[in-house]
Amino acid sequence: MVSEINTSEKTVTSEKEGRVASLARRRHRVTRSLLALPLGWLVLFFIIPVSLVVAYSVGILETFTKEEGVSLETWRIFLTGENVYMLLFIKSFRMALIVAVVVVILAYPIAYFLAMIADKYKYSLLLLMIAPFMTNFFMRVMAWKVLLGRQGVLNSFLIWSGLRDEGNPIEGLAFGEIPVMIVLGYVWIPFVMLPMFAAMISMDRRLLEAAADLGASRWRAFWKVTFPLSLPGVVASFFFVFIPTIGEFVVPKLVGGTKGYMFGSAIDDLFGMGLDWRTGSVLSLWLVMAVFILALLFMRLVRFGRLAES
Amino acid sequence: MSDGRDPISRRDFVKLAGKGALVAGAMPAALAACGEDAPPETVVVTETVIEERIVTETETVIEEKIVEVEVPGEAPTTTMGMREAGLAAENGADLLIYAPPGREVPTQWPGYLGRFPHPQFAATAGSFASLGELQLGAIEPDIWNPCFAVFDTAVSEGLVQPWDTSLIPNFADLNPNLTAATSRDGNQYAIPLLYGLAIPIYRADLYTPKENSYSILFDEDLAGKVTWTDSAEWFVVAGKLPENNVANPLDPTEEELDRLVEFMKRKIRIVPAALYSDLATNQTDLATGNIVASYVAPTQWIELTKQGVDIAFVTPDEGFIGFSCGYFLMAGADQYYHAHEWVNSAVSVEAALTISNKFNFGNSNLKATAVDNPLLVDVMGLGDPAALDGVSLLDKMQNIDRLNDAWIEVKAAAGV
Amino acid sequence: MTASSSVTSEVGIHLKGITKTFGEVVAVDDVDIVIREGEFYSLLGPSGCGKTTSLRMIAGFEVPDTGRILLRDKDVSGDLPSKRNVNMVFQHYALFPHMNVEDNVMFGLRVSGVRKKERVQRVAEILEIVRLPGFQKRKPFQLSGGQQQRVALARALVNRPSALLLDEPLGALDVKLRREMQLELKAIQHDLGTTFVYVTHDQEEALTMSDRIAVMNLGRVEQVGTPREIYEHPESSFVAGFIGSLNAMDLKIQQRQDDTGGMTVGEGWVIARVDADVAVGTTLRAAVRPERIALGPAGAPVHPDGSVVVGTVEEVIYLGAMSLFHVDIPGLGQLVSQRMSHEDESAYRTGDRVSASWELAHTLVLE
Repeated sequence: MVSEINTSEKTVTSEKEGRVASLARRRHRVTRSLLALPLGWLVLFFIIPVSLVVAYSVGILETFTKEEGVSLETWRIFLTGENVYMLLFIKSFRMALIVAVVVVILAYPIAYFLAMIADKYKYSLLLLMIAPFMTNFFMRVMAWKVLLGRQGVLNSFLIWSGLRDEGNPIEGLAFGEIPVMIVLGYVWIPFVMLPMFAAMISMDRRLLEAAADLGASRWRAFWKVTFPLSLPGVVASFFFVFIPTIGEFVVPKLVGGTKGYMFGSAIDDLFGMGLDWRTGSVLSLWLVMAVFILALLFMRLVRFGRLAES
Repeated sequence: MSDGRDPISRRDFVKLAGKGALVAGAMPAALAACGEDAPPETVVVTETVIEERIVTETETVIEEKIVEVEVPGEAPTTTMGMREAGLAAENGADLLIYAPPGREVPTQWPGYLGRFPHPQFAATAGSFASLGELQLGAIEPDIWNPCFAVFDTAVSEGLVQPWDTSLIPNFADLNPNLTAATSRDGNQYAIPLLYGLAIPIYRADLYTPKENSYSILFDEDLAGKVTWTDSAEWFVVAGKLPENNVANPLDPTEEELDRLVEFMKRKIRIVPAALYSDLATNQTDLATGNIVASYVAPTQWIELTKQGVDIAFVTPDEGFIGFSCGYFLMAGADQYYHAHEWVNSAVSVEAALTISNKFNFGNSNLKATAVDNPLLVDVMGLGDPAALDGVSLLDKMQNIDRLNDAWIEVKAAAGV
Repeated sequence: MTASSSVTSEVGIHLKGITKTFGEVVAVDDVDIVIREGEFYSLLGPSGCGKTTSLRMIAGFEVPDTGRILLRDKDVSGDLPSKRNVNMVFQHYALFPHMNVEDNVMFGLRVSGVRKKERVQRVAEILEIVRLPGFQKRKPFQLSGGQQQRVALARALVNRPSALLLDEPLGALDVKLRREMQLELKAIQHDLGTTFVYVTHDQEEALTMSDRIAVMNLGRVEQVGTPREIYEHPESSFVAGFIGSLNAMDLKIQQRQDDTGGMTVGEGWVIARVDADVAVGTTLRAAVRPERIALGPAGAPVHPDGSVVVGTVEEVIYLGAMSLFHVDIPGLGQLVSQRMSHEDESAYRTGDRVSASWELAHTLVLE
C-alpha cells in the first residue's frame, strides 16, 4: 500500500515534470518560430542574393559562357589595382565624402534654425522645405541642367549682366564631377536635415539654460552643449548621404558626362551593357562590404551618442 | 487536326512545332520532300518519351528541321503543307515580339493582321540590356529585334536559331551585304530590317575638317565640342583610323585592343559632357553650336539639314561604319511559323518604305526603291546593292563583351 | 524659531514691483520680495502661482514686464543669465548628459576662467560637501536620482554664487530620499551660508527647511513669514488652507467680550479673538487645525477657557502614530481631530459621544 502510494506520487511528479518539460519545449518552439521570421527574411533577401553575387564573382555562376573557370582572378585584378576600378572607388569615396560633409554642414544651420529658433512655425517650415522634393526626381535634376547649362539661367545672367563675354560662358557646370556633387547635395539636403532636426528637437532646452546660468555665452553653450548633443544626428545625417552617394549611378548618368563617372556607374555598365557580371559582382560586393563596414561604424557611433544622451 | 493529337498535351504539341520539329499532320509531306515515303504507322508513344525527345533532340531538330517522331494516331487523310500545318498548330496570338518601342505599329508589318491574330509586343531598352535579360530568361519572346552588334554573342550563346528563309518569300529581295553579315556557317540567324551609316557630322560654318576621316571626332582642336555615343563601337571607329594601324577594326587583337584602350583613354577627355544618349539634346546642341562635331545616324543629319543648320558630313577615306538591326528567331520560340510570317511582312517593300520615309533609316529591301527621302538617298546611296560594299558593318564585331569591358574601363579611367 | 546663524539683515535679493504676463495670463502680479543675505527662503504655492516664474526672473531666464530685480543692491533686471552671479538647480537637474561629473561641476569654473589646478581642487571640495567624493569620472546616466541631484547642487554651488536658486529640486525623488535630502540641503545651506531661494509646492518641505516662506497664489504673495508664523497665524484662508489641514467654519458673532467674540453651538460654544471693530452679528471665517482639537467625554470641557462642542464620533482613521477622528457636531458640521494614537483619548470608537475642545488662541480667524 505504501509503496503503491509512493509509486503513484512518483508518477504524479514525473507527469508534472513531463508537463513542465513539454511546456518548456513548446515555449522553445515558439521562440524558434518567432526567430524564424526575421531569419527567413534575412536569408531570402540578403544571404541568398549576396551568395549568388559571390558565386558570380568567382565564376561559379556565369551568365555568358566565357569559360574563365572558378578562380579569384577577377578579385585579384580589382584588389591589386590592375584595372581602373579601385581608383574609381577611391574617387567615388572622395566624392561621397565631400558631398556628405558639405551637405551636413549646409543642412545643420537649417535644422538648427527649425528646431531651436523657428518655434511654433517649425513644422510648417519643415514641410515647406520638403515640399519641392515631392516633385519628380528627374525633373529636379533637369532643372539643374537648365540652371547650370552653357545656355542656362546662370550663364544667361552672367552674359546679360556683362560679367562674362558672349560666347564665353562658364563651362563644366552642366556636366562633370562638380554638377554631380551639386545635384546629389541638392537631392539629399531635406533628408539630411531630418536626423539632425530630430536630435535637436529632442534635446532638453533646460541644458541651454543651465549653461547660460553657469555663465556660458550662447556661442559657448552651442559648442559645449547643443553641438555635442546633436552629434548623433549629425553622424546619422552624414551616413544618410554618404552611403547612397558612394554607389550612385543615376545622377552621374544625367549630369556626370565623362568626368562624373562613378563606381556605381561602372557597376551599372558592367551588368548592363558590358554583360561582364563577374567584374560587376566583384565591384558590387566590394561596395556592399564598404557600406557594411561604414554602417557598423555608424551604429557604434550612434549607440555611443545614445548612451551619452540617456 | 484533331487526329493524332490526343495522347500528347496541346502544350507539348505546340512546343514540338515551335522547335521546328515535324508536326504530326505534316509528317508525310515533309518526308516526301526528303524523298522518302513513310508508311502511316500507329505507334503508341507515351508523353514522357516525347518530352525526352524534345529535350535531347533539340539540337538535331534545329539542324535538320525534320525529325522522325512517331506520333500516335491515325494517318492523316489529306496531305498538307508543312507551313499550313505548323501555323494551324500554333496559337498565333501568343507570338511575342521583343522590340524597341514603336515596332508594335501595324504599318511596319503590313498584311499580317487580317491573316493572323494580333501578336504581342514587349519593349526592349537597348540591344545589350535585352541580351542580358534574354540570357537570364527574364523574358521568353519568339522574335527579338536588336541591332546586330550583339550578333556574335547571341549566336555563340545559343540564344537564337536560324530562320528558315524558304518560309520568308521577301528574303530574296534583301540586301546581300546585310544578309551575309547576319549569317554564320550557312545559317541565316537574323533577318535584317534596317541599316544606317555612322556618319561624322560637323558644323560647316564653325569647323573645317583637316582630312576626310573619322579623325575629326578625335580632333583636339574641338575639345569640349565633340560628342560620342556611349558604345563599344568606338573601338571600331578608332580602329579604322590609319594612325592606329588595326588590321580588322571589327575584331582587334589583344595587342591592338590594348593600344586602342590607351588611345581612347587619352582622347575621351575631349568629350566634354555626356557620351550622349539623348538624341534630342545632341541635336539641339549641334543646332546651337554648343557641339560642333558628332557621330550620328543619318537621321540627325537629315533633320538638322531640314532645320537649315549648316551641317555637313565627312565621307571617310577609310570607309563608313554601318550598323544594321533586325530580327532574331529565339531558340525557344513557340510560334515558329507565325514568327516567319510576321518577319516576312516586316521586311516587305511596304514596310521597308515606312522605315526609310518615316524613320530616316536605310532599309534592307532592295525592291523598296520608291523612297521619297532625297537626303537619305543622297547620304546612304539607297537602292544601290553595292552601297554597303566598303562599309564595316558592326554586325561583324567579334567578342563584343571584350570590347564592352574595355569601353567601360575607358569610361572609368576618364572619370578617375 | 532658530534662524541660521548666517542670516544677516543685509538684503540679498530684492524683487521690486515685478509683473510678468505670458500673453493673456498674468503669471506674476506686482510682487515685492525681499530676501536677506544667507537666508533659506522658500517660494511656496500651488502650480501656476508664479513661484517658478519669479525664480526664473531672478535667474534671468525671464524678463519682467515691469519692476526691478536687485542682487546685492545692484539692478540686474536687464542682464543676461550668464551675467548674474546666481546659480540654479533645475527641476530635473539638467545635467549635461555627455559630460562626466567633473566636467559638469567644472562647467561654470571653466567659463569663468578658473585655472585648472584650482578647478580640480574646488570640484573635489564641493563633491565632498555634497557627499559624492570620488565620483568625478562617472557619467550622469550612471548615477541614481539622489546622486544626480547632488551633482546638480555641486555644479551650482562650486561657483560660489551670491544666491542659489532651486526649482523644486527634490520633486523627482521618492519620499524617503526626499526627506533625507531636505535635511542635507538645509545642512549644506547652513554650512556654506549661501542664500537659498527655494521653489516648492510641498508645504511640508517648505516648513522643514525654510528660514522664511513666501506663500504665493495667482501671481501674488499672500503672506511672508517664518514657518511658525505661516502655520500658526495664516493671514488668509488660502494660506491657512494651503499650509496644513484645517477645520473651517463660519463663526457668527453672537456675543462680544473684551477682545473675544463667540457663538453657541448646541450645548457648547466656539470663541475666538476678534478685532475691536467686529460687531455682534458679523459672520467671520474661522478655522481650527485638527491637531489642536482635544477630545473628552461629553460634557467635560477640556479647555474651559476655550471652545468646546459636543458631537458623535463618525469615523476613526488609524494612521500609525496618529489617528484621525471625524466628529459630527450638530449645528457646526464635521470636525477632524488628530490625536496621538497612544493617548487615552484615542480609545474613542465610532458612535461615542465626545466633547471636542481647543484653546482660544487656536481658533484662527482668517479674514
